[in-house]
Amino acid sequence: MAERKNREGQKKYLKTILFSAKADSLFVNLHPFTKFVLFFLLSIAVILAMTKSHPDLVFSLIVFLVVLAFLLESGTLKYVIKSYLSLLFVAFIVFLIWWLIFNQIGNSILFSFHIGNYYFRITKESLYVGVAKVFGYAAMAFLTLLILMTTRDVDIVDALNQLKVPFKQTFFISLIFRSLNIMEEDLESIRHAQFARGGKASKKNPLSRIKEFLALSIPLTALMIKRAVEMGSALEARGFSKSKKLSEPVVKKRIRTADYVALILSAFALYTSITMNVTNVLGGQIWTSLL
Amino acid sequence: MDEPVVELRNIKWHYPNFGGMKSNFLMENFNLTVYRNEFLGITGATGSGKSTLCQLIAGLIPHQIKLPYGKANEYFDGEVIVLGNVVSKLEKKGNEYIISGKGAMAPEVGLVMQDPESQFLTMSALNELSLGLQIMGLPKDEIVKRIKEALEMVGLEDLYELIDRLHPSELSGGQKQRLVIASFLAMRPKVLILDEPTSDLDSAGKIEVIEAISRLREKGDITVILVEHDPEILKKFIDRLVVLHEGKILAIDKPENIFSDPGLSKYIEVSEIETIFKNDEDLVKQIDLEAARVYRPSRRLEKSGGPALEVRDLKYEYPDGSRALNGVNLTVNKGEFIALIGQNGSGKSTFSKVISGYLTKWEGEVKIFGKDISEKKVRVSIPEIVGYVFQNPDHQIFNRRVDEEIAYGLKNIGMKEEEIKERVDETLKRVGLSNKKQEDPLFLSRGEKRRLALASVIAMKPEILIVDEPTTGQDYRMSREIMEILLELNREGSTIIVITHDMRLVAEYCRRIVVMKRGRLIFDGTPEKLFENEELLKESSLLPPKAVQISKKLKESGIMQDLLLSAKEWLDFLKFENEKKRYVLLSFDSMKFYAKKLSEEILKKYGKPDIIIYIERGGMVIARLISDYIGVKDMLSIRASYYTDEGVPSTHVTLGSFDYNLDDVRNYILLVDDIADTGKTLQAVLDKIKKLTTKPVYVCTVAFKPHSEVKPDIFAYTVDNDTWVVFEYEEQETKRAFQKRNNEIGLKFMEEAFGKQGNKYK
Repeated sequence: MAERKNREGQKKYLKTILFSAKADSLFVNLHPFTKFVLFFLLSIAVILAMTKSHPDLVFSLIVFLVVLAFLLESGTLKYVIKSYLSLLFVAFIVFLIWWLIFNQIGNSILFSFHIGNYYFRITKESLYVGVAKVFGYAAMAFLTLLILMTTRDVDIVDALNQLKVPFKQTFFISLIFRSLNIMEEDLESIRHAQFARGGKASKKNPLSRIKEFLALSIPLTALMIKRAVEMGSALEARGFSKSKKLSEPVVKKRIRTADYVALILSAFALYTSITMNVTNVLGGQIWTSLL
Repeated sequence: MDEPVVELRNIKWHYPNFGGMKSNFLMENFNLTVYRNEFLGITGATGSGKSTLCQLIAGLIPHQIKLPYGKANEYFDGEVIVLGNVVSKLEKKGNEYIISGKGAMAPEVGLVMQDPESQFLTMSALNELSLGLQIMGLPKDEIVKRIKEALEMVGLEDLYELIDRLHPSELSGGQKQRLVIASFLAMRPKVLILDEPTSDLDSAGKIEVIEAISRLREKGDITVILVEHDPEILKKFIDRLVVLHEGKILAIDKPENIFSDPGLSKYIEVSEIETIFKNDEDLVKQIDLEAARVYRPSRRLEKSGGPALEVRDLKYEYPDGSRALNGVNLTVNKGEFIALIGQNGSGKSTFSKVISGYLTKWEGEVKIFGKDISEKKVRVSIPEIVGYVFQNPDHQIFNRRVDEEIAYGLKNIGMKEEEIKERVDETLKRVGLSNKKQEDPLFLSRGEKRRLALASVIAMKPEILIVDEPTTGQDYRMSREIMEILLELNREGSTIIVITHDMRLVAEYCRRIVVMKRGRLIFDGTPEKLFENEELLKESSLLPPKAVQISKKLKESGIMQDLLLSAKEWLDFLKFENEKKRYVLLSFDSMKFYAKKLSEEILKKYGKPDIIIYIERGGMVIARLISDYIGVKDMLSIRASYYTDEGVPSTHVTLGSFDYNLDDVRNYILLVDDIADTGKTLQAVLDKIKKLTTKPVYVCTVAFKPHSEVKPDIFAYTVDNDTWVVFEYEEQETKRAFQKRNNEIGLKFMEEAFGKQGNKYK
């Protein structure tokens, strides 16, 4: 695999839990604690905005757009578009249709139809609530992706160390990340090997496809056992079993001004969601009066 | 240096059975002492016990292996002492035997193993380097200082600024290997054990890392134990060398004594070129300058059967935006044997993934036999045309039986059951695995797995074969076995693309080299052109093999016209030089006479053999004559040659398949050949037969040269080493060989012996 640094030798991208993100972007440099609290506060805010008696469409939309802006700023939006957009788009459309069918609230009918004895109607009110919920869920889904795409596994481990979680526990978590990383790379090679032997080329019935998938487990299991043994030896060779208290890490991620700003803004978002309906404040009474 | 730091006393070790797999490996009465500040080398073929020995010293064996409680004595005995501490010792407590001792002794003892992937334990390069130091409880400043020093030692000082931002996936195999070595160097161990730690590094990188470790030893108090095959490294850096074979020490001595002992040559990797020239300085005195001036090596011409692969302006970008391929243009013709080389991260793997159809979404044009692989229909049919053999055979074993593994790909491409059976048998025979047909591939040896991986791909008879790093983690003999199979496939018409770091194999087998750097081709040409381009060699971190380095000196001083690329070419040159020597003819009548004489001696000395095995083709005539005289009808043949058809000596013996059951032999086997010349062929065949039977094998030849590695048990007469014995029935082959070599004296002899019109004896 090509080195992920630019040709001048500076590192433009950082490998994160999911894909990579711009090394100098705002979200990448936030402390994992900040991201955790921000995620927690914003999620509650969005849930509240969606579930109140008058769902706050504008609030959900604003959070959604802000998250999109951060995805763009961190250079991760392209991965969302490439890998998840079609999936998320279909999911939200299905969700909206489901909502409209089973939550027929209000009387301002946009259109209606019969299927046998069943009478369905799409109202302005249900459409409004449905759209608000779709944006709310989209904001949360995209926020989750933003966090995963801008956080390095090593940052999580370091954060746990800062929380004084015992070294052996944090190292175990780190080892899980590393094992998953090795497994991912092995799996990539194995899939390539399977392809090279015609594994995916021929048209097959579902049973053969399952068999083919199971075939992957043979090399993967054998490799993981071998690697686990080798990793055990490597750990011993570094003196892991004799480790007691570790000295300070060389680099510690600190809480900076940007972290405080992010925390204040997310607390403010929660406060807003609890205390007001932004849609109404911005003159959206026409919509809410329908409810 | 006389103070012992590592002592293994009367060690016994054998691995417990795992998952039904019985291990035949046994170490018994093993004794070894390593002294303070020594640089000890360990070498030997794959499976000889090198890694086991390292892990015993490091205290991982037996402490890390689960042994039946109280029965440790069945697996381990003796004691291992390192730096005055008992690392492992067998003790009896009551009726139970247990293992006592300190076990792993980090940080005083460090162990770097072969595979960097499993040793890279954390999620950033910085954490990897600091892990051991943090465990040692060092303060931050000291950790930073040591990290900087260690990075400099392994040539990664440029990474320091980025080090806390580097994820393991972003590092190449070579970088990971250097980082793991650096992480141990930073711990400043008193004993550093390196178990083939540079297998993923290119030739120049390998020397660079070992040199740094050697410098460290000169500076301070460190004892280094290095497992390595490369004779050049061993000779350059090692104080003493241990040769292991099947868990036993065959020899411990200074490397120069080990490498000059012909008896050890089959257990270690020998620098073939150094067996020819003992001293580079006296080279001019050792060769015939007149012959050197006129000599032109004859090389295999690349076939050009039309384009097999056409790549135009190929670009590929990873999802994060980094470009792996940046406008690659390449045409490979049918029947070519190409080496694709370049530093880690140069784009070789991505390129091979594109041409094998695995990667999509690239830009440019890729055609295989004129078909555009961007079309889905073409892409899915690629596995039938392009075969891919992976670096790690464990990645491509999908079944639990050897024959099923080979059949897997054939089934996928829709071959009929009967045809599959036939193809499986044929392929197993080709790679010498017929006797392993029903075994579980996971329990094969490393070399056998490698051959199975190759077999499973070549069974599909791909027209283009891509082989990724065929030499990593294997001894040179194993690598050669693979390369010989590839050469045979190439002769049959397959196009071969080998991705490798091993410049010796590149120089010997490939007539075209493609060098990649940062996603581009920076060189496409013959090996000789590459090796003459100093700037390019430096840029690509490539080190020409010893054979090339020697001939380069001679070419630069005007003694030679062309570079000689391999030991084989040097032997070829020496043959050319020597062809002015003596010739004798052995007529068919003489053969009959000798056959009778030999038969009488055989019967007198050993009685009637159960079976005669002869070496094709030379041994056929004499074997048939002997079989008539002594009345043995059971005859088997084995194809083996140390010489090419042109009479040019090779650097190794090529053996044909020989998968016969020899269980019925009750008395002995008679192995017959016409002449024991170098004896290499006889030795290789003897080794092969001895693996199949425990009964005696006696060797019988007509002629014997004193320099032969094998002295036959029975032979008719002795000839001088520099005499060419021409057998009457080999008139045409001998003539062709002389013509090819422009051997005028030889041709004159042939004319005198056989007349202008041919065989005058008929």
